[in-house]
Formats: sequence, structure tokens, C-alpha cells
Amino acid sequence: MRYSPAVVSTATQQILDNSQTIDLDNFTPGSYRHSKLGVRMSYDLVGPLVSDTVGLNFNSLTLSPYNNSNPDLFIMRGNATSGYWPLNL
Amino acid sequence: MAAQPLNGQRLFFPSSASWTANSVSFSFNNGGNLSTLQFDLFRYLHFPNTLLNVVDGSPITASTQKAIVLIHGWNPSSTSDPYASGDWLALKNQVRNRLTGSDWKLIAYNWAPDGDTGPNDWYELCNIAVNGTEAAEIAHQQGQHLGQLVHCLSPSLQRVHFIAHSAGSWAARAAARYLLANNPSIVIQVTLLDPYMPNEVTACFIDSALGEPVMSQADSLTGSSRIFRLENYYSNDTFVFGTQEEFLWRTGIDVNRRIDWQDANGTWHYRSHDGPVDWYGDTVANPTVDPQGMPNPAGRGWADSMYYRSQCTVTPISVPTTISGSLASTDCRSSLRGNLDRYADRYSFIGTAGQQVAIALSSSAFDTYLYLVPPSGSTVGDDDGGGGTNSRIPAGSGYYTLPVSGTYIIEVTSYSANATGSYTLTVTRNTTCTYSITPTSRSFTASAGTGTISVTAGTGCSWTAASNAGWITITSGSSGSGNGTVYYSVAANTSTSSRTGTITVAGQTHTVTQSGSAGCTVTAIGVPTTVSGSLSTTDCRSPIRGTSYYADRYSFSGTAGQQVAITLSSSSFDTYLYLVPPGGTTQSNDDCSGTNSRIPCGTTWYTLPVSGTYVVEVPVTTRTP
Repeated sequence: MRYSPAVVSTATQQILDNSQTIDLDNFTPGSYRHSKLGVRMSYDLVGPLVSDTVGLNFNSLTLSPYNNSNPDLFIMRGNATSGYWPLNL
Repeated sequence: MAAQPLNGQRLFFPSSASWTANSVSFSFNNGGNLSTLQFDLFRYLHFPNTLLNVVDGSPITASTQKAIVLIHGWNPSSTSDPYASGDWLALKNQVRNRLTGSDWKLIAYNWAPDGDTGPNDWYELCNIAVNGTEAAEIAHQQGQHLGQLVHCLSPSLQRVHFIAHSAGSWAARAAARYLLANNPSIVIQVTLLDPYMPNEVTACFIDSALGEPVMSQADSLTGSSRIFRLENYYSNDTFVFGTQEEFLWRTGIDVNRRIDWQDANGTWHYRSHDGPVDWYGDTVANPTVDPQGMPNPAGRGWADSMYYRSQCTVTPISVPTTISGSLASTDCRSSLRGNLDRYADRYSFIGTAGQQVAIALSSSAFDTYLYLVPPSGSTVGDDDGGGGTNSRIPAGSGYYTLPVSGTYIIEVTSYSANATGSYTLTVTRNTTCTYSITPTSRSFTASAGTGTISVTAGTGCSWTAASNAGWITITSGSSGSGNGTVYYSVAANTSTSSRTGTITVAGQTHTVTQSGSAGCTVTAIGVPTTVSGSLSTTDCRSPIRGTSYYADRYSFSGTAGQQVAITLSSSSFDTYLYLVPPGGTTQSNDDCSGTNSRIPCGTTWYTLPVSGTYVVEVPVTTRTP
């Protein structure tokens, strides 16, 4: 089985046309963020009144290596009220 | 992280990030900003980029018009192929058997690498809820991808039927939603088997939008008029919560049906989370018998699938005929008109090219629509050609000429969706025959010759050919039907006078004129006799062998049944011998002994067929200038 998207340098590429990756749903997704490319594993808050250390967890489905070159994981900055994550790449 | 990325933009892990096998942490200097930032960690989903037809292993391409897509559900604690065993394997094989040889493709969408969200731990119900919900959320995203992928590979797809289990129901919904919005001609059916509704779980802090309210809106998606049917077949399995929901879909079209049942012995059937997969597979194996044992329940599984409902039984008929029939809700659906929302009856007849037919369809119960599907070429359709709301091919009056020979299909259906009621179908054939022949006359020299006559007639119109002269013989084509050819021969004219005869073909007259053999004197002889003669340049030319040959002619009186032998020998030229009876076939011989001739060749006798004057002609075999 082949997978997409693939991480190429600092961008992601899909074999499919990116212009078609618009989510047509408009219902409130609850706690689950709907990225078109991935599934949210965890989130953390950082700020002067909380902490300056970000701790994020992923599950056993994540492929190794477990370092910065891991092609399976990516992070985004958002806010607690945004329910939908249009991955703007 | 020198630059502050916008919300929703992908970031990169700082070089100082600390990693373990299930976590990553790093420090972030907020630069004195008093606001609180949120960081989200995503894992890419594993999207397949190709789809294969299970029936023959070929890829799904732009030429694919119709497809059934199987979508498995949560695949706890395993990334193995969900279609390789158990109820899914049985269902896949049953559907594959049905589609083999058809123009439908079968896709088994495998999202197992992302569907393995965690164990199915019955002692930790929250594990079930949390892991199953994550599977549903991933399925929702996989479905969006599946819709895109199917649309990219087959942008002109006409029919697709999703059959999904549990969490995979959300992939089916999302894929259907995408295709309806992006393919303006696609017709979709969605069959959900024990669909999992995460938001029905009120414990374990589940906060998912995926639930009955969202699924109930599936009948009002953009393009929902092209949804053939939404089906929800569920089991009251007591250990899986969130899978006993019914949806507020279109009344009378879509289906919610509980399929587990208890027999007289108290044994439950299909009463598990996989039960509906097992049940649906059984309906594929035998669509005419409901495995639950209830007659005509609402929602019959495979019997209500687009594939099955578009496979109309064809009733052979003979022409002419009048049929009193009716469209009923148990009929198949027209694949020619509408979005599989018109019922249809189909009939077939054998037609031949050129045959003329008229097909009339009338009903007082519904607005009729009529199709004629030839063995090849374009389908002919009619709405109101029969007057009022009735149909006729051709419209108005007259006959439709069948373009090719073969089996023709007549489809009786309705103008409007879901119409039922009685109808009358009348098929007639044009029985008025017209004939013509070409040519209507032909001239021959005195020599023997052959000719042909072409007959033009309508299909099914029979004719005969007969000679009206003894010297004209029909050699083949003495009778026929439709277009044909008559072959005939003309005997040599041994008379010095020309003659005229006719052939009657299909009531038409073909005139044959043959010139006389001018210049040949016929010398009467007795039998037996021996004649010593000679050919010279003053002799006449042979009317049989041709004007390039000199000839002498003798005649004798013969009686039918009399046996004669005629020998001709010469040391000066290569002989040739003819015996022309008063009627029938001219006998001839070239070299029976050396270059000499005899009728009959050998030592036997020739029996005279009729009584009368026989002519013996002695030409040379060598062409003279």
C-alpha cells in the first residue's frame, strides 16, 4: 500500500489535487479536530501563566523514528476555541 | 521557532525536542506574551492512492462506471486485512460472485493501518468508547479521502454503493457526501451495518459530533436527490453501545431495520456487532429468501441494492402481441430512466434488420415511458408519442424499421418516479409486403448462358421464382424471404429464329430474349447411320460453342427411353460434340478417346429423355479466326 501525503522538505505533497481537499462538512466537530491530512493525537497549552514546556503524546500507531525526522507527525498552533483545522499548506 | 506561525499552519519540532516512544516535549518561549497558546500534535493518516477491483485485480480507472465499495470498521489491536477472514470475507466473496461478469467493480477499502486505534477491552468500557470513537473520527477523514480518490480515479462514475460496518459508516457518509457534491450525475446507495454513533456514549468524556443527528442529515446532503437509498441494518447486540440507533431519513425510501431475531427454540441469530455483516452476506447469497424469515420486510438487504434492482428479468415475447401488465414496487428499477427511481418491466423479441414494428404502451394509472434497446446501437425512447401520457415507438403512427438483426429489449417504465399500476403493451409488425426485381429483362445470344435477378422485399415477405419457358431453367433461388437473388440458365438456341421467354419472380416479370442461330442448316439423318463429313470455312458458326467455331448440324427423331450412342472422330481436328434434346439439358463431350468425342463417353448408352427431334452439332474444338 502506498501512502499519502508525503513530507518533502518543508512541505507536504499529496498525489491527489490539494485543491480538492476542502472539507465540506460544517457541523461542530466536538473535541476532535478534523485535519484533512491527519488525526489529532494530543494538545498542550503554553503561556506565561501556565508553562513554557510543551508536552505532546502520540500512540502506538506512530511509526518510528521517534525524533525530529519522524515523517508521521506534525504540529500546528491553534487555539482552544477553533473546532476545525484547515491545514493551510 | 523564531517566527510566529499563523493558526493552522504546520510547524516543525525544535531541535531541542525530547522524544520517547510515545511522547515529545519541548520548551517554547512565548516572548512575554500574556496570551496562552495551544499546540496540537497530529499524526498523518495513511491514505491509499490506488483502488483495485476485487473481481479481477484490475485498477479502478476513468472507465469505471459502477462500483460497490466495502468499508470495514474499527480494527482493534490489528492492522491485518479485515476482508481476509470472518464475516467480511464471506460478504466480499458473495458480492464478488454476484458482480463477476458484470460491468460493476468491487472495491474493498482498507484503512486498517489507521483503524487500529486501540484494544477492544471489554473490562474497560471506556477503552471501547475512546478507541472506537477515535476510529470513527479517523473513518470520517478517511471517507473524505476515499471520496476524493474515487472521484479522481473515476470522474464519470455513475453508480456507487457503499457497504460499511460500525465506525466505517462515517467513511461511507463522508465519501458519499463528497461524491454527491462533486459528481453531478452519480447515484449513490449507502448501506450501514451496525453503524457506530460515538456521541450516543454519555460516559467516558466522549465529545464527538459523530452521532445520530449528523447521520440523520445524510438524506439532505447536497445532491441528495441522487441518493438511491440509505439503509441502516443494526443488531441489538447487548455489549456494544452506540450501535442501536435509527435515523430520521426519507419515509418510504430509506430503511432502518433491526435484523437480529430469535427463533422458536429461543436461539438468537445475527445478534452481535458483526451480525449485520453476516446477515447482509446471507442476503447476497440468496436475495429471494429473507434470512430473518419474515416475508417482504422493509429493507431486504441485497435484494434492495442498486445492482440487484437494476438487473431486470426479461420476458421473451413473440410479435405481434398484446400484453396486460403492471408496474409494482417489487419490480426492478429502470437503468435507462432516472436515478433508479422508476420501476420497470422488460420484454425481448427476436428481430431482423429491415423488419418494421410499432410498439405502443398505454396506462390509465401512470404516465408511461417506453424504451426499445437494439442489440447494438442507440436506444430509442418515447414519453408521450402515443397520445396523452401514453407512449409509442415511433411516435404518432407508422413503423420503426429495425436497424440490425438480433434480440431487442422493450422496457416499460414510467415518466415519474415510483409510479405503479396496470398498463397495456402492444407490439405489431408491418405485414404489408412490397417487391421489386432488378433487372426486369435481359438478352442472350444463341449460345447457352446464365443470368441473375435481384429481389428486394421487406423482412418476412416471402416470394417464389418460376420459369415460363422450357429453355429457361431456375438453377437456385426459386424461393426466398426478404431480399434475395434468383439464378437461372438459358439453353442454346438451335433454331434460326430468336425467342422470348419469361421468369415470374415475386409476382414481377423478368423477360429473356435470345437470338437465333442464323446460317446453320440442319440435315436430317436416320438412326443408326454413319456420316462422313467435313468442316470448312463455308460452314455456319456454332450457336452453342460460339461464333468463333464452325459447325455442321444433323437431326434425328427419337423416342423417350430410346438408347443411342453418338461418336465423332477426325484426324484433321480436335472434335467436339453436342446433342440438343427438344427439352432439357444439352449434352456435350470433348475428348472421350484421344481427341475424339462420344455421347455418352465410354461404352454405355444415352437414354433419350423425351420424344422429339434431336439435333447433333459438330463443331471444332479449336477456335477459328
